[in-house]
Amino acid sequence: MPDLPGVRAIGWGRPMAWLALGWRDMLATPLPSLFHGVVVAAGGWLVLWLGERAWLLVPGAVSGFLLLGPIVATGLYQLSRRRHGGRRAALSQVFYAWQRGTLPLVGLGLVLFAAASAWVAVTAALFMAFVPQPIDSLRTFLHYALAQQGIPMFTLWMLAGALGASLVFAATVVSAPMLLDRRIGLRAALMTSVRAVGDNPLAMALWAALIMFACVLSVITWMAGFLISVPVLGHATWHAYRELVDADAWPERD
Amino acid sequence: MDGPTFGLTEAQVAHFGLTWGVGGLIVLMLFVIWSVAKESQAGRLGTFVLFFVLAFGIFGFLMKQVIQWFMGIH
Repeated sequence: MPDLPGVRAIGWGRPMAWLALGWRDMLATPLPSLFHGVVVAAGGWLVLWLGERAWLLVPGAVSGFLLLGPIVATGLYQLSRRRHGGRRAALSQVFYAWQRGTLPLVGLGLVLFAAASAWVAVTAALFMAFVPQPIDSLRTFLHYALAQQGIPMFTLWMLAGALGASLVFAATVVSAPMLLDRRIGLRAALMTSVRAVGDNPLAMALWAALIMFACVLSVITWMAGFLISVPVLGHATWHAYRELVDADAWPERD
Repeated sequence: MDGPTFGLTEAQVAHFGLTWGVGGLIVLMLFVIWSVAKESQAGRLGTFVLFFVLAFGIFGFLMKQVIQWFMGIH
């Protein structure tokens, strides 16, 4: 067995094709697919609701969401995987994939949870240093995060966040579907993902920009956009993995 | 503790810690990216990070404008 799964070089415009494939998969299994969108949108609404009523729980809720995210998304990968393997794809397989929630995927969730917590700590440190009053609501937070003038707080916050996010994106973009598909360790999956990104910087930057765009649209439509963006991006991620990674040397999971 | 410490006010200490703290964090992150790229033999990870940070910045400022407009924050 080689050291790491092989990685393919792809054209820079391939992410558009993944979106089209993701869209087709969603239409092929509409109910189980859209169900994921409902789960994520409900999580978004929960965060907004907490922002109004229990502000202190918001960072924890966001981190918890990242912990569960990879496991929730496995349902979509499993639907695409079964459909393209010529097998039946239904809601029962989604629950099966969730419940199986293999140990490496829990590990991946923990990595994201740690990254989110570090990010919360940096944000808290910046606020403690720069903001003269206690932050007691989502509104006050947004006010100070966005409207402070004369200090480069927003820029610093964005730069640190962007660097951290680029690392998290590179390490996770194809590792979650890989962990669902193959018997491979967490570390090897993360490294393969980074290598796939490093070999295809333009295509993966376009893919990241498309995901950011979908998230911005979803948030400004009051989370309603997640109903569609989550299923399409989830199925598309499966196709990204299949195209970028050759893990045939690793045994398949059932 | 009230009053200056080693001749510095609390605001100066906070400002110093912050500038160096966040600066150090950014340098640390660049180092982690470099070492991860090296270990996984990901040749052009740096190119990706550059584009990612640019895109992130553009979307971030876009979101900032939208939220400010929406919530009436100026």
